[in-house]
Amino acid sequence: MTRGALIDVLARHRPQNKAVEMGEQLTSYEELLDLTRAIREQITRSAIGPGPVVVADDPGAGACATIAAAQALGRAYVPLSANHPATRIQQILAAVEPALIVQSDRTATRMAEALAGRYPLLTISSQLDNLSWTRSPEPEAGYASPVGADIAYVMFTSGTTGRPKGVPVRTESLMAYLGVAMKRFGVRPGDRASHFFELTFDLSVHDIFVTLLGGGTLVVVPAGQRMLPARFLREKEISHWFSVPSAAESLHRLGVLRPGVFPQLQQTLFCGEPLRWPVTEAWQVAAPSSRIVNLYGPTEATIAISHYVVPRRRSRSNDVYGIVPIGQVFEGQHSRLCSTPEVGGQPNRGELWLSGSQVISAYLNAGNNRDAFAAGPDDVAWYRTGDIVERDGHGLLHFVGRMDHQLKISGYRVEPAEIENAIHRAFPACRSVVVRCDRGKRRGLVAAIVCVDGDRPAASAVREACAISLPPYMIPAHVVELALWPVNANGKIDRGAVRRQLEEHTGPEVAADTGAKS
Amino acid sequence: MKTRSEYEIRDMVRRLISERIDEVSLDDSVSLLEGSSLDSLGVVELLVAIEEEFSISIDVVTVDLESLLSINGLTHHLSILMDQSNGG
Repeated sequence: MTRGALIDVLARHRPQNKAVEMGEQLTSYEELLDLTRAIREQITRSAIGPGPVVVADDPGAGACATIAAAQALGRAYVPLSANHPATRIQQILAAVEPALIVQSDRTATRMAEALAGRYPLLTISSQLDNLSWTRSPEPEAGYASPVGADIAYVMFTSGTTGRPKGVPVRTESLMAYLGVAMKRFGVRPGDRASHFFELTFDLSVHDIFVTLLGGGTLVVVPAGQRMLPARFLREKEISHWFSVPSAAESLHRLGVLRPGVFPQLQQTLFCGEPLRWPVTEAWQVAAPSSRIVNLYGPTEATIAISHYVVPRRRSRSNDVYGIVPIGQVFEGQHSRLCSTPEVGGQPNRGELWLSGSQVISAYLNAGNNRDAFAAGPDDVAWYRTGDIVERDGHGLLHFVGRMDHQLKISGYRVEPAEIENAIHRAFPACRSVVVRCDRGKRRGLVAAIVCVDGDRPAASAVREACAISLPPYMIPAHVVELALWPVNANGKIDRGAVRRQLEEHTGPEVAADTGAKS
Repeated sequence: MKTRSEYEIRDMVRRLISERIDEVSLDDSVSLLEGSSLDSLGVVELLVAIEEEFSISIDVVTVDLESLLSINGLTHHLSILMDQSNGG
């Protein structure tokens, strides 16, 4: 498979087959190919400098065509979300220095403030029948982009420094992943595959490329149905489902996963979070014709780098902590466990390090900062995932936990420090600790705050401050004031104790999260 | 099953929502996902709490989530379910 493969393959599919389905809008392969060529023409005919193409659109045919056009032109694409705050979007634009931005008139109003500036702006009409320059390219206005010609896409994740961190994935890495994914998890003409993930989540790359390369129909999951997609799955007759385990957890919690409720499902992929056995077994009952595969992989390792095909029965060997194994890394990729005292000093347990053609070698604009990378004993560069993993006697990898405070919210990586920094910037008199609560009434992301003087911010004010710079999934669902921080033996704040206090305690020292100043 | 008036249902729905958000007031017609601090996890927890409180089952396989997720939508849907449960 080579760069530009997507547009070449689009041309080989049956022209009248449905490529993308978004609500009532159906786009055939012929129409998608026409739109892709039209976008490519606009770019090649204009005075566009080098650099990546920013996709400022919701999931759908317009975004797919933009991505295929960028790929055909040998340019990286960088997705933005209309749900993210303008300051974050502008940070990303400044970091990648794009050649142009492609938006749709569905997202234009929502993103007007964020996209104001100097970059050429091409707009796709919502009916996909017109392209127009909202801001025309200016000759010799090109800016030097740090995104090289070997990069396929750049995803931005939560960063501990308080700024989003750019992960540039090489075309070679994407092609290595697609080679495995098409073989192991591919779709065929006639299959109907979900497009669950937002474009800013790297698992969307799998949705788009694997489905369109295979000639299936990509069916966009409406944002409002992602949390409970049962009706969507049935009404849209989805045959290939790919989501974070949270979606299945929610359906399981509401008792939806009844025997045979999803009879049409043939394949289910889960990735992005630990997959619990009880949910998996319930999904097997709900979708008896579907095989289930648990995928694992940080963004830095290109979508997913290991997999485990779930058998019909769990056993002692595949159920170590009530979590489905993350399995074995793909052929041609490499893993090793780096054992340190921090992870318990057990022989088969350690921090998971990854290397191979799917693994990035540096972050965007990172300079000499290579903290996440290490040279192994064989002088190979390894990416340190921060995940604590065990390898069992069968060679299967089992996720155990994190070495740091990183959290996952609906599969999104969340660095608490980024949220804590945002709160501190707005309220310098307050110190906060952000945790994820899974029990009690306060579930999800919870910010505990302790203020040094009497001027305590309302909970709503804290969330509003976060919304200035953080995407919606990083805004705490609850803000709770604590009287004192629980500390460990070293005098440091004990985050585990904070979480337990928030989950269990309803006593007077935990102020009600009403936002009232007290 | 205990019979409840639409007024009582609405009042209980408001109480269950208010335990999970910190908005001072919430318009009955506004989507909970757009007009409140409730996130997707919070919505699931709210639906679980409603099912327990009213001893009913909300079938998300058939229900239109977007019309359900407001105080008006939940009250309307629960009223129908309660009527059906009571042979109405």
